[in-house]
Amino acid sequence: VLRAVATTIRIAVGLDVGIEPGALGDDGAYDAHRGQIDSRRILPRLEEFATEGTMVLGIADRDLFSTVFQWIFGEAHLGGHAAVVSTYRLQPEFSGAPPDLMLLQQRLSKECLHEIGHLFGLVHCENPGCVMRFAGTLAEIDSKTVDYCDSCLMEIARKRGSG
Amino acid sequence: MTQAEGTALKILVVDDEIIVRRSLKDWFEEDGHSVHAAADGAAALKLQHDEGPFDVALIDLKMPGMDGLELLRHLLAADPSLSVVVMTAYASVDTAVRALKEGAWDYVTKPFDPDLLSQLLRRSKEHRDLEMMNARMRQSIDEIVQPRPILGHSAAVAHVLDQIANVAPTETSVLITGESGVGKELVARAIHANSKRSYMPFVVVNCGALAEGILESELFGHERGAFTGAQFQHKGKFEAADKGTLFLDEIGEISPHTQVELLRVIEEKTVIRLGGNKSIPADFRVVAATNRDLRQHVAEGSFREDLFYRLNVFQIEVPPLRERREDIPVLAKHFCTRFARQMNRLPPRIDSIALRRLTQFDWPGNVRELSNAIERALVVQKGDVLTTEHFPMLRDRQSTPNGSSSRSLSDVERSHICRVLEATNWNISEAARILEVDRGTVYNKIRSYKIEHGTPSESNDPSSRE
Repeated sequence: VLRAVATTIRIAVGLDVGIEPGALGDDGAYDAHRGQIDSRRILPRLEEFATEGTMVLGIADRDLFSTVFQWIFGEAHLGGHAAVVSTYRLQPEFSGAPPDLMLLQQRLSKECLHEIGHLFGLVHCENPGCVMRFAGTLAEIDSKTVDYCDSCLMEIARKRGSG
Repeated sequence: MTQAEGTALKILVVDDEIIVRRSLKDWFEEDGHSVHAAADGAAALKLQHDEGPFDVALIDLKMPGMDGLELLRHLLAADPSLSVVVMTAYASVDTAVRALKEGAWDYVTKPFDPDLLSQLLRRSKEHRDLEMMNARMRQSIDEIVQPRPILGHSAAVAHVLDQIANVAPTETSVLITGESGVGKELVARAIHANSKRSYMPFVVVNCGALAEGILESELFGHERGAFTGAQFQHKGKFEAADKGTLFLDEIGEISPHTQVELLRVIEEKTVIRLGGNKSIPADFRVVAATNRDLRQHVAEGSFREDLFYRLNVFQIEVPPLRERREDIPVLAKHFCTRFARQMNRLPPRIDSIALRRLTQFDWPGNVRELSNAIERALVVQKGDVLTTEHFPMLRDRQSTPNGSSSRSLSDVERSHICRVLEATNWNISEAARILEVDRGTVYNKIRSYKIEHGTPSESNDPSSRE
């Protein structure tokens, strides 16, 4: 799944993508009482891994929360260097559907591209098919395409050019 | 496409916990909104003063110092259109309900469900857009439906305008009195336009123009099959004027039977359609007008005293034009401009002799007659100056000592009837009243003199001269 997601990112934004194994949440970011990982604690640690000209995208299999939010699909600092996405709620099994790796891969790709967009400084987009459109439910994620709209793609190109 | 600037919201976040402020700020900024954050009530009010107005304020209920409820009251007092969302922990939902009663727009519980918070913001944006659209439409309607101005510099007009300004914002019933053609409907429209009901309907019923049965059906409506020909249910004018103003013109003409039902509807604010038995609530303000002396009709017993007092809570007497002659030049020039624009030409000048004669004339048909006279003058005169020649009624007056001696009695009578009909816009009841004859006589004269709409008061048609 991760390899497929890496390929999607490479095609969509032309970034070189490397995959590094690692355990997220084992360093105090896991809240045993909630059974969730605090994304606000993870993001600063991921930022530490980012070197000049790179971004770090953490993929967690546990559920994420973010201080004031009960749960989140993922989080990124707008214009930052690190983001995190969880597969927990993206799995078809979470909503009672049978396992479907292809569907999980598509959803994860969309969420990763979405958070990468935020790292490039993009805000949510109102274009219905754009991957930068806000999605609060699985149905809304499924209704997006695995791609940026032309405006968002141009904005990313502009940011990359100036950055 | 990134979110357009015009669709972004301006949000105020107030919470004593920095982590909440920072999280919400990041979250909303990802959505393209502009966010200002404050740690307490005092700082929030300062931000509202310095950076406002905001579209939405998210405020924590439990804060040291000024609590959320107090802050809510202050924020709304400064900006009643602000959508305030209160943030509360699960344990304080009761307080959130209190906040809703105090005018909060919605509440969210902490920690937030991101989907619910996003929906709330979306609804808030829709709410703001509707408010903006509403404001734009009100402005457009204002531009379209501004009533024609009541013109004049006389003390009499100033007094009428004062009375309108005083009574318009209230819910008081108004009785407008004055001779035919003085502009009673204009006064009624001005009252409506300056009232809280101005964006709701202004419904006119000419009580003198309709036969009794038809008037009742018009006013109160009827159910299907209420009478022969009532094939469909019909809503009456009272229902049509719901939340607006009902203008009952020529109120002195209504029959005793209709007066009874009218009084009941005005007192109970409910209508029962003809042939129906259901009371339908109606929220209307009544403005009535008459050119009759209703007090005398009450004394004679032809108009109900209780209905008279219901309608005559506030009376505006519109003076006849001959009692405010100083307004005639202003009105004459105004009508010149208006009709010239309608005819797509430059407004002609009225020469000084004609203007003096127009000012000296008595105008039995008042402003309406003056308006008709100017319109007709513009039709016959294609040049850029109007003289006495273009106003036949002035010529009559001028020629009276010599000219009338060569005319037959019937010729003078015909000419006078024509003029009165024109002055009253062919309102036969009104013409009969001015001529002090009954309506049948007016009809007979029209037939015998072969008078038609548009017949000049000084006819050259030999067939009408006997």
